[in-house]
Amino acid sequence: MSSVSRGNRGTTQPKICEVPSSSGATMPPESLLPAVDFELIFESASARLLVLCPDSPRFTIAGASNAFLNATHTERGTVVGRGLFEVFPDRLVDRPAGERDLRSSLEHVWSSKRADTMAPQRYDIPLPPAQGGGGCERFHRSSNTPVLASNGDLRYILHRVEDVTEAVLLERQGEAQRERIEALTRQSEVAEADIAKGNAALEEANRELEAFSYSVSHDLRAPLRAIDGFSQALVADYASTLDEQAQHYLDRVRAGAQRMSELIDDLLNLSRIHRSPVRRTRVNASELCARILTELAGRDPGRDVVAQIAPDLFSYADAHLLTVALEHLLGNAWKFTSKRAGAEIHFGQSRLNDELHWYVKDNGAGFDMAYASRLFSPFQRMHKASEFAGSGIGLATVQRIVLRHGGRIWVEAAMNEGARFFFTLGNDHA
Amino acid sequence: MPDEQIILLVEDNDDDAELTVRAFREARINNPIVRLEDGVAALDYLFGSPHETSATSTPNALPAVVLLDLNLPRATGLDVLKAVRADARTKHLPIVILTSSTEDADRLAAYDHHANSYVQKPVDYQAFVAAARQLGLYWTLLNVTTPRVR
Repeated sequence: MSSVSRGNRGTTQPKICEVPSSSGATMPPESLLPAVDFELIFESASARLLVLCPDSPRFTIAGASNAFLNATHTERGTVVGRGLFEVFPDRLVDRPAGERDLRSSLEHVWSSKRADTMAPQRYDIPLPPAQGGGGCERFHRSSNTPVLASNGDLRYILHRVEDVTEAVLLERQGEAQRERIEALTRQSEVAEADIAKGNAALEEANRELEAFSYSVSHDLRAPLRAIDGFSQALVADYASTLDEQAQHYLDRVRAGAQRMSELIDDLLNLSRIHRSPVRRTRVNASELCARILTELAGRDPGRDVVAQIAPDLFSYADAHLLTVALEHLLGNAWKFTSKRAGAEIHFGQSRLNDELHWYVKDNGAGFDMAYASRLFSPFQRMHKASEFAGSGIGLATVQRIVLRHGGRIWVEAAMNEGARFFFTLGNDHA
Repeated sequence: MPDEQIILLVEDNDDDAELTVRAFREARINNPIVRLEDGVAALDYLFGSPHETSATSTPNALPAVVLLDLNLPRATGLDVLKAVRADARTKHLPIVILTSSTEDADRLAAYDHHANSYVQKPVDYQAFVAAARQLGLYWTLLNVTTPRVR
């Protein structure tokens, strides 16, 4: 067994390398060159190298580069001359399946005299107590290269170790990220499937609503027409035999049919709000209010109402739905100020907690806030029909419209002190 | 002569049919009114090609106007409208959709298939009589049909 060590450096025969002269320059004679200290060069190499003797299974360490010793926190004196696995017992933490371990790689090189590069492996380096002891997780890629004598005999095996921890960790992070992305993709696929299911259910519900509305629109009106028509036929054809009381009862029957017909119309209009898509455009809400109030005044020329409309306020909302909503709100304001002098209606925008909202205010009859929770439900009324006419569908319709825009509506009121309606329309800043 | 002009009423609801006839009479429209109960009966009447076993095999003279309900048993009002518009002999026949429905889809479909008019039957009988009067006067007296339509 030959061993290279500092102790016998002097006896090692320096050997001059023969550099092939591709440039054609003539080499100086051997004797003119200083002796080259290959051992020193080897020990100073930046690579982490071990020279191993081919004495399988011991693989005696014949030399080590300083880089190797530094990386493994060892010293040359305690390493050289000892068997490789004596100094570095198998501390492999995880060996890729089907990969050679170091011993089999060395034996492969030993028997085949061919170089072998191993896959990156985890090999934790123990830290000296001065550095806190313990170990640190490192990954290494090792290659074992045969060093052959001129007669082809295996003289040494050059063991080279590269620290590939950074690369492995990066790859691991990449994998973790890939897994995260895959998990997210799976989650979003599940969510998409849920949404598709929800949409299908919504479409089904809309179809049912459609069929129901059609039935209400068409089938419920026919019996009402019969009630009204035949009551009238009775009055017309048998007037002589019906006394006043009988005619009064028939009038009540007819009024009932009329009322129900109006309710059906209101219900249908409410369901249309539900069914019509919200198409946002830029709407001049101030102009819209002015137009609606002009129409109200035109139908009711005896009224004297002061209307204060903040000018040029725009909303990015569905023009038709916004019109319907404002018709109801302004119509209510108009109606509930009808029994007082100095009626006022205000329309504009104000800001509360950084949220811009619309308002419609009046100084009319108002109502008791104790009943405000029922205000936006269909057919709920705050006043006797003899005081103020109405079906109780208007504010339910307004609320639907506001909700369809992703907004909300609320109210402040007091008996005989008017009502103030506030609403938002989602993100409608135009 | 105007009295000879038939008004064809296609209406499945007996109450509505009776009230319609009554409304026309109250409005002093005395044209003969032929009432049919469903779409297939209307097709048989207009085309004389019985859709089911029937003695009638020749088409009747075309009426002055067809008052056509939409929601009919078997062939719907829309089916009748399409068939009438698709036939050279009947394509100009005045057809007034007379229905309870105000649904957008119905109105669109009626005009898409070239109905001459769309009238909603009012629930208020007085309004119904007023509508019948206007319809009767307009389609049997005022309106001038295409040449050779009848």
